[in-house]
Amino acid sequence: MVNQSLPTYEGSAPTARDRRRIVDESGRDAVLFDMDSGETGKVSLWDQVDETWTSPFERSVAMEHYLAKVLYRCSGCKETSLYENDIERHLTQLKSSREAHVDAELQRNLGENGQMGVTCTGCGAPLSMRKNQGQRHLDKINDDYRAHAEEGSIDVLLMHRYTTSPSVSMPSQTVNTFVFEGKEPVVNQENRSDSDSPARRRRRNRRRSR
Amino acid sequence: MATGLSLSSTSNLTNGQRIFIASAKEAFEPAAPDPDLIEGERIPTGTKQWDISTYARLTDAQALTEGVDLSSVQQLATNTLQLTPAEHGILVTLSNRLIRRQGDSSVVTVAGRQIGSSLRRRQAKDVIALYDGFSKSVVGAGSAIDITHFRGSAAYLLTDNNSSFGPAPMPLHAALHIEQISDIINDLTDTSPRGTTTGFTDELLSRWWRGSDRLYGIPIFHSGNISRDSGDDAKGAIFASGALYMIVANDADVTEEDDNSLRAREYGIFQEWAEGERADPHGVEIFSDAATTV
Repeated sequence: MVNQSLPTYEGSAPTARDRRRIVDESGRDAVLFDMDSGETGKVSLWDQVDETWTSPFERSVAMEHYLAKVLYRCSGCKETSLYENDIERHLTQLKSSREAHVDAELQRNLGENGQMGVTCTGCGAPLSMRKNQGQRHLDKINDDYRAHAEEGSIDVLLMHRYTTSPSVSMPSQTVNTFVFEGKEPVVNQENRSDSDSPARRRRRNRRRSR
Repeated sequence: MATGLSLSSTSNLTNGQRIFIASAKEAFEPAAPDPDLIEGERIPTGTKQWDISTYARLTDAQALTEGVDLSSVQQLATNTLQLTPAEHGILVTLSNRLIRRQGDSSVVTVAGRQIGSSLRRRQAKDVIALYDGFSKSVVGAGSAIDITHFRGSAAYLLTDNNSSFGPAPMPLHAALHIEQISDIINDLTDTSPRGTTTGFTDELLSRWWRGSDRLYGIPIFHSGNISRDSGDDAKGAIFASGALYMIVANDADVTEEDDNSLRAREYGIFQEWAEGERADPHGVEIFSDAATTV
């Protein structure tokens, strides 16, 4: 049986002589030494996109490879890519998706097995009634667009992904700028609600068809 | 003589009662599939560094006109990853008295198993660290992964985005935190959009995700050593096996050494390896919410 409270020695890797002294001084029967020599040569980097610390990389790899890594980033959100075209496509999709969903509604429907579901009339996506998924689908499209529209102009930035610390400022370059037209399409909140009864929606559809 | 009822704890009666010591259990070691999901090579003896070069593709061949010399020639170019293996290891020093008292068959076996697991865990964590390095990242902090993210990531990887590396070759693998897998299961078992409870949906409802299960043909592995950050988000990845490389210099070297003056025995396990990213465009980081569902 191994002692549950077996202590682990933390610190720089000790020599064999030091290990013996540490065991003697600890007064324990056993001491665990983590001898991962690689750990001492490792370094965590600050991810400027995620805004989190990375797990430790080998120091040489971190310095030569990861600190040199550059990518394109949308200044309006955290969308990144290795390719400039991807960011332009992201902005185009935001606009087109918004335009497709201006009058979008959530239509209730009945599945084969009797489960209730909703379909977005903007993109035809079948969505779940659970967790208000339909409303969240529309909200996300709306919120993403609004966040970019409020910025006015969106830059495609060429930037370093990692730094050694959050306080270290790395140079970035604006490679392109897109202007989001400030005028936002107005969304009819009633139409977006999935709480409307199917009967009311059918009446509206009949009037449209005449 | 004392009078009254005799209980199990009366006077010194407990001294005659036996204690049964059950065999000790060990903390369960989480699955660490990550090193097996990437390309691995063994560096030969007498070599200190492993360089892996990837030839970029040449531009498209040109349409020619008869009698007109093709004057421009294309140059071969490579991207190189250099890996220098570093030592990793763990030691446990057991006193002879502990071994004597606990019985060699118990404590030494346990120590051996534990140091083996520890080394494997270290190796898995080194690979997991590389997931964060993929430039393409999907989902984002606080948001749950769904099958659309997964499908989109697979399509991104299979797109010919980059002449230096080309599209990611199959097979693709995914290594995710179990809460990320749980979000995928949630999406797959949500019957209302598709109106069906049969097939894979039904299977997942009656069991849990298995290592052999695939989504869009991509096996998703539960990587037990992916941790959550302070915001309850986790970083997994979908990648082609050749996106990441691990070079090992030797088999795990298990050592046992007596220290007579200390009256102790030292058990160790050591291995040299290095890991690195060969093709950034062949992987997508899955950075998503991994907060507990309950």
